[in-house]
Amino acid sequence: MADHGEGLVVSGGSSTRVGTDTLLALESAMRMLHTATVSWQATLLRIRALNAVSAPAWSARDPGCDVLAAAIAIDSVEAESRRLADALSAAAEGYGRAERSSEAAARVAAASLGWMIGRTPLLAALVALSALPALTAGVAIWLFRQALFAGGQPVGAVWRRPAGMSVVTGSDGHSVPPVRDRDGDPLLDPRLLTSPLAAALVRAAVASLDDAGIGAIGLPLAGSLALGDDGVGLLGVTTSAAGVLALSRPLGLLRETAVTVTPVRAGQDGASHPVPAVPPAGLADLASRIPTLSKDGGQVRVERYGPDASPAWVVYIGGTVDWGPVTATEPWDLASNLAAVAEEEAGSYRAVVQAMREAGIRPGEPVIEVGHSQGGLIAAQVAASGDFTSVATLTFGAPSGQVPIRDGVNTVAVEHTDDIVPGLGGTSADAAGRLLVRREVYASAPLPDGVSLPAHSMANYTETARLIDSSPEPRLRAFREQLTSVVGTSAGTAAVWRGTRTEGR
Amino acid sequence: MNDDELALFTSSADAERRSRLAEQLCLLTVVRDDVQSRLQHLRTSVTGTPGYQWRSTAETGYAERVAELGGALDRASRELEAACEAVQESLVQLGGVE
Repeated sequence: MADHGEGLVVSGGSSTRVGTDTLLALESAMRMLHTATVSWQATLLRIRALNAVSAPAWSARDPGCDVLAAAIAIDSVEAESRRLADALSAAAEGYGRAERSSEAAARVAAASLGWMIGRTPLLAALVALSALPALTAGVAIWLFRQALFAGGQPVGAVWRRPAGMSVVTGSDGHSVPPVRDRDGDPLLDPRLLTSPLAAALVRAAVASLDDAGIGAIGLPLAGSLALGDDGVGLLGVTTSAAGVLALSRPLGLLRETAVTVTPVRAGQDGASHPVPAVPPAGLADLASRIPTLSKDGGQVRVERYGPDASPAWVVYIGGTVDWGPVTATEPWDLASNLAAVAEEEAGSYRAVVQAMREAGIRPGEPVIEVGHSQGGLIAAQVAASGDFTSVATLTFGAPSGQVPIRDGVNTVAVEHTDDIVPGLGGTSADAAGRLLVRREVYASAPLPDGVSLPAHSMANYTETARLIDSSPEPRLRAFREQLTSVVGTSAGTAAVWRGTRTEGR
Repeated sequence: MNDDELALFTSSADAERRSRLAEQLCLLTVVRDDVQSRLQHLRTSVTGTPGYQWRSTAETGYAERVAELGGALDRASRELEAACEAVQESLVQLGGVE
């Protein structure tokens, strides 16, 4: 398992501050202590006003002496707690300011580089040939991985293991298959794709794809910056993904189709009716219930709690199952990944909405959406659509940074800083509205053998969720309390739904 | 002022003083309990995540200041305790409590 010595870094959530959860919890505790001291001072003033004897006439055992001494000690606590809270707040503000400045500088640098590459076809070709694995994200990385996995097999089928190629998906079933040759040796150093630097490069590369396009058609860099995410927002990851889809579909790749859903969770008797479910007690419970990768099982789990007249719901959405660019029957595929980033209604999105409706979720009934990877992106989009009464959203390793946050939806995004997948969604469009919890999983721990993107595995995200559950950070504690207040403490029911693509939309 | 009037005046003044002392004791007890509760919280949870080792100069500096804060809270707690005892003593002298 990964290194758990490093803490959680918390940012966003309508705040400009960034800090470890410990630092932010300490600041909150100091503020609360300071507020208490102000209240004590007021009470001590009232107590002193009740003194029957004025100070010059106090005897050695007059209560006034002791009350005065206590007031002096509390004055000291008041001043010191305020100083400490201010110092911690300044540290978090400074951290946030430095991070925003460096991110803004990186975005401009990446945009400029992308624009230059677009302007220079030879440079673009060289970059594409030499740096495709490390710098090009989104489709490029997935297609690259697919090409490695396919080992000469027709590209586009649901991924199959070539003879002799080792596959380790991890006990959680969420891990990404390894990039290994027939002798079991790594084709790609896993460290290249599992580090904060790789994740930052992927995010920057994805965010600057549109700038390369602008450069290629001969528009100036200033125009690219003005139209991009830091400008009016007309261009960005969304348009890049739409562009990839527009180029791919005439070739028969990444096509969208109609979808249908069916309940698949069999009870003890083999029937497909809902089974009993215990209310999730925290984020680790939520993480552990996200459906695992499977070509035969379901991709959506819907839990119902509370009285029949006013139920509350939790919807769990799994990650990508099929990485092939040719659309088959699986809606949790590469086509859905790109369609979702392009803000088109992806097959997986439509399947989730259908499953939620068939499960009986009606407007006005509170819903918490939870998802991993593509599932997290879909969860965020369902919450943003307003079709249901979403009250909270929790995503793990999701490329959902561009999805807007609706008012009233408490949104927590958990990202590992050495996981490249969240960066595939580009830079965050609503950083302030989203409470972002980050952790570097493999800061010092060795990478596990045989898993190409271990920081993206649901096992590691579940471990991070456990750390969040034990965090004293006030906003994380508030999210746990909201979960409990929504689902209550009485048992509910759970059903799992499977979405399938139908031919020819 | 005759003796009866003096006794009535003294009794009334004592009653007034008892009432003030009782209110002081009530308020002091509330503040003392809250201070002690905050002190306990500071000792158990404000020093960071359990098992976390303070490492940097800033962190150790912060830990020292938290320790000083704890010392000041402890002093306040003791002074409030002494004030509560002094008020109770005064009430006993006035015959207000057993």
